[in-house]
Amino acid sequence: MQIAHLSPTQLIERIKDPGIYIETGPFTIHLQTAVAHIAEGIRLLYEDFPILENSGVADFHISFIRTRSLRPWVRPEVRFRLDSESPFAPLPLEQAFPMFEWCFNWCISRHANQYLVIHAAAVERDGYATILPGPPGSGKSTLCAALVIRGWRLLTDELTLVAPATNMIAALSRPIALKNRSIDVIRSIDPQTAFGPICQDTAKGAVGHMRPPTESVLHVGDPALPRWIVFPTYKTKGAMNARPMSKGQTFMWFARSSFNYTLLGLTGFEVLSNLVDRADCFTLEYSNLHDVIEWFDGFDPRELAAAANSAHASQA
Amino acid sequence: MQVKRDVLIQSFARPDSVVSLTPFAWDMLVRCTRPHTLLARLLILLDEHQLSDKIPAFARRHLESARIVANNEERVLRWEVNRIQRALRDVDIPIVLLKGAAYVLANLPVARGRLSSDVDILVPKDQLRVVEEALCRYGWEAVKLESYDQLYYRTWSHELPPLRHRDRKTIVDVHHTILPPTGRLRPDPEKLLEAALPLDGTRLKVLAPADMVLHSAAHAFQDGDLRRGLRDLVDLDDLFRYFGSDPTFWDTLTLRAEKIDLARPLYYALHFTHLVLDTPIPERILQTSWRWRPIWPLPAVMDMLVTGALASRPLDASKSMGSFFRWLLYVRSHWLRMPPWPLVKHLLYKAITRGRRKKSS
Amino acid sequence: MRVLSWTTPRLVWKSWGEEVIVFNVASGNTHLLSPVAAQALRILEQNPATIFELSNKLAGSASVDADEEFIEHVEKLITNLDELGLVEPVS
Repeated sequence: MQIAHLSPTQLIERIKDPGIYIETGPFTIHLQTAVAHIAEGIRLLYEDFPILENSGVADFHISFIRTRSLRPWVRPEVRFRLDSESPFAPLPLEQAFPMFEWCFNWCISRHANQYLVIHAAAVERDGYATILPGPPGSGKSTLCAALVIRGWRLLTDELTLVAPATNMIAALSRPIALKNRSIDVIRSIDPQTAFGPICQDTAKGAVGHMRPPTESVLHVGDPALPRWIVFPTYKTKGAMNARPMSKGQTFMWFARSSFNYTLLGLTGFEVLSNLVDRADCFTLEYSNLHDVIEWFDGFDPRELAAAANSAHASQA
Repeated sequence: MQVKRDVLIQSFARPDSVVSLTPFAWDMLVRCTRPHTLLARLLILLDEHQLSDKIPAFARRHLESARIVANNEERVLRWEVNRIQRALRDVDIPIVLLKGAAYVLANLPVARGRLSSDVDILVPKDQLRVVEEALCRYGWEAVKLESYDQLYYRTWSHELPPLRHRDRKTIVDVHHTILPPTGRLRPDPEKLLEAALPLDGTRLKVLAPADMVLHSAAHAFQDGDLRRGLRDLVDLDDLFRYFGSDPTFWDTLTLRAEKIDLARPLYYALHFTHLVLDTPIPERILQTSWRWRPIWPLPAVMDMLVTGALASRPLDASKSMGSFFRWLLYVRSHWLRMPPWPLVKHLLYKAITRGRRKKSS
Repeated sequence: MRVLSWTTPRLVWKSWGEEVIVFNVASGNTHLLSPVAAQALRILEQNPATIFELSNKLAGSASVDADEEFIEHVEKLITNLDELGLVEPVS
């Protein structure tokens, strides 16, 4: 059964009590909350995800509680809880759904040491994955969303999970978090794109989540082989500029921006070595998404130089 | 007194019992074990008892993830000891590793699955300065404490304020004795240093087995508030089983306890590990330890406090009797640490500054 | 004054062309090395050497003289590597 098979009322009631068990790729989450914003976000953005029967078994048992204040002028807030721990300060109630997504990511980044967890987006085509690393503001989420609209399968927008035993990336296929202008940009590429509620005034500005395509969610169990690593940098103007990036630099960047590289010790080193070994690495400056999508279209797993050459050609 | 065993304690006391757990119970077990930072330890225990294939896949993932964390903590600890040795290369004094660092470097079974990367060392009191200066030359610096806390450490406590390495952010605690010098029990550090044993391949030492056990007991029941609760008992259980396989150990232990004034904590250690975890302790040793019991009604009170404090925390964060008992033990540990009037002042000060901090944040 | 011989702890290497990355198993640290640092570590990994001996080997392979200035540079390099935990004196 999927989330979509519950009526909105059924969904809200079930999430309130006893909570809902959602399977999201390698993780099962037990979510329990009376906060309507979150139930609404789940309804809109997780509709293709399977619900499990209330077996009491989940990787993360999380809840979100609306905090009460005796002072009526204080804005209502929502607090996150994982079992009996409440690791974060509460946020305004309107930000409840982004908070759910951030907290879910936090759970994975801390308790999934069976993977090397890298801060990057990733998309897949024909079994091969492109990894898009980058700090907030680099445009990786926007680029990820644009590629997904183009037809690449969404693996993840934030946490790239690499399995040591297979060196493959496990998919999460969860909603893509977009900020500010990115939301408009994506809507202009495809006005049919489904979004969850847009929250204004978060610490990052306006935040909204794009619904993952049904195909991506249905194939969440299919891992992908890493093949390309592209460091995007969005610029407001200028021609597209794609250049090969050294493997050494790529390695060190990943080592620094992975959540648990050091924790995994020699295993982390080996997994990352393997990843960087098999991938072609680029930096990519761009201002126009259309140019960039075409460049990605040209990716051919059998060709090393082709992608780099076509990038130089478009620059000339 | 019968102990009502919840699934967590039962799994440690009787590992075989896990074969009858439902998936729901396994889920609870993982969630209950995690706050005690005992997940890795549990996995190792189950592996030892050839119960690995009885662990369902979903639970196994979490146990393995925790084991990876524990392996890393061990590595961090070993490297820290490496760096400490380097910093103290030219300081020719006896340095005794305590607690986790000792367990790991001595390759004791109790070290496996532990999550602790702070290093505790014991040095002669007159060498504290020298050691502090040497460590500070190599990148450690005193943790920034308010001057009140600094004074507390240096006057009442038995260690320098913790030293944190500026790059690695790891902590070294330098002790000159193992319990506060103002407390009721005064184990003589010189006796401990004298009996310390060298660690092969290093110039470091560890406490002799009986002293190691007594230190762990003191840490759990005198100096500590059992906040680590089950973890402390699991450590003691491991130590008793390992050293207890040598039949001469038990008499050495009881004699030593009286000699260095740690008989009372040993009574508690023997009593509670036996009660809660079924630790195999020779009956005659348990009987010997009764003479160190506190006077009535304290044994019953302690039974209640400790078993209450060990109860698994409810998973919905509601205040429970368990947290009340833990608070009582916390007060008790300070009672034992400081004379009454300074204690009242100390607790008041802490309460007021905590209140002030809350208001301003 | 006792002249120290230097050696390396257990290292795991990965290189792409000129770029050399080394993982120190004991410290858990990963380092992107300069060519001369990589060369020095490879030499010491094979056989412990004093600073003087190491300078000669490095100078030899670069076809330069191991003069005073060169040895000073090597000394600085070893000091850095010691701080990072990539070399240790032979006990």
